[in-house]
Amino acid sequence: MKSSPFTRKTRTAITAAFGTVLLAAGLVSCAPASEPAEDAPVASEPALLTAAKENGIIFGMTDSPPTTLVEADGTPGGYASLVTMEVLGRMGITEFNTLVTDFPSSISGLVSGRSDIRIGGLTPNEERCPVMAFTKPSHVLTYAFAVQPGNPKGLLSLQDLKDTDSKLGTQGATTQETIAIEVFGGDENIVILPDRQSGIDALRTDRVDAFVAPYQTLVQLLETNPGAFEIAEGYVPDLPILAQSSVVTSENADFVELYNKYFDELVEEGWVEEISDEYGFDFDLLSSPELATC
Amino acid sequence: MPTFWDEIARPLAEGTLMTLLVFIGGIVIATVLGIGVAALRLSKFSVLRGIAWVHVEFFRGVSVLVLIFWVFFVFPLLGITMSPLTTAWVVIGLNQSAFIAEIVRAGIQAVPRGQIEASIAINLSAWDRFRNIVFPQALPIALPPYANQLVNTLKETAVVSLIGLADLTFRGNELRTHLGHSMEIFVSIGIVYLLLAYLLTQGTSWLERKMRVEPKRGTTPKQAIRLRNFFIGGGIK
Repeated sequence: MKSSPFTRKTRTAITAAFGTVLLAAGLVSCAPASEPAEDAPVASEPALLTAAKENGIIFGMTDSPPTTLVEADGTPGGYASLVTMEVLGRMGITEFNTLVTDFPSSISGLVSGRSDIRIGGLTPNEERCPVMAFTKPSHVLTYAFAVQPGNPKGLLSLQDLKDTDSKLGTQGATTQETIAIEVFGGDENIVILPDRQSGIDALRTDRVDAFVAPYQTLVQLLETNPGAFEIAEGYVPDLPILAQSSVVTSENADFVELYNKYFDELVEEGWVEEISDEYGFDFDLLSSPELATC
Repeated sequence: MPTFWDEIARPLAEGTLMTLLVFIGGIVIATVLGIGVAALRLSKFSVLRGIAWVHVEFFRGVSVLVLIFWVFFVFPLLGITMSPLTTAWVVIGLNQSAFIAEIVRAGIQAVPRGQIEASIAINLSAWDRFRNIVFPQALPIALPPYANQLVNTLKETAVVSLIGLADLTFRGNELRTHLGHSMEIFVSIGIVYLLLAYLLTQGTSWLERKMRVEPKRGTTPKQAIRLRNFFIGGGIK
């Protein structure tokens, strides 16, 4: 019998490597080769709009009332959804679907094409503006602290938390987290929580001393968690007011241009101010010089 | 005014149905694939063994959370787009198939070598050896760890809530966001998971009892043969 030049171990390693290569090749071959579009029609309207008119549009969102939520019948609801649907309705889009994920995944969802437009709750900033196309802000968020009833530690600002060595709860990958890390000089006293209700639960179980969230969110949480916490007086002074826009991928900037045109119409008609008041957002802040936009 | 059913029970019931749908699809894929991979693991061809080894090590080693994010958010960039439900089935199926493949392989390899040698001695074909000698003995050995894997798979379905699939965990979180009452809602969904897991373990315990090898004689049980006949038909020809 002819003996193999390789030991059994070597043969196993070679076949394992071969198997890996085969699997990888199979995966790569699944991806369609990108071909240049031939005879592509000259678009008279943004490509995203054409597609959305035909197939409907998917809103990427978090479940975050009163800004974004899904109604019992599956339709998008909340302030940002209503504004976006009104604008898109005027642009000729009639079908609206939703993809609800956590906050960080909503961007991944947009980039991967799982959603067409990410609505509500995204702040234009230096990092995001170059890589995504932001609409004009639909509302402005002001931040407040949820604290223990009576605010026993007297926490009113991030500096107060730092001075008293208190723990802050916040949702991850958010502007407020970034600023808190700067003020605290590190993240040891910052507890990242997956959602807003977890913020209240963390407060209730003494895992954090304060939970920072948009004021309107805390008002809604107070309705569903009566007596569990109180909203500290005033807005958090070390946090800026933050513009909140809808966003699409950067290649759909032409869509945003058209969107802004219709949005301006709604502002002129007074519709945006009316609905802002209804949902408790301060419409006047939209024209604040402090507001950072793209 | 919304009723208890509309506000709480219906969303949880719909979530439970989605969890079951994800679980059933995932476990069917995992079982079929797992048996196939186990067969490759036991192949006499080293290339097939190598492929099976890579499959098992890869899907056993990669976190299911990472895998589901990859398939849902990264694959579309490569031109592969699956619906959330299909993504859930594929990811859970692939992940669990690695574990099930090892359970099946261990079950088959636990059949005493002498049994196989004896069946070769009486000139049974490979297929007859498998369905009449190996499978009926391997099945009772593989069932208890397979039952554990069923429960693990059921619990693993909760990851689909992260890709927007409205399963029990997703519905629970939704209710928390809109109604508060975290404790009551977590207790409720915990009880539902517990009940489903209990039903699964009871079902598999029943099967284990039916499949148990007679300790005195060490012969293949009639029930195992019946089950074998149900799945792969026939007897020794």
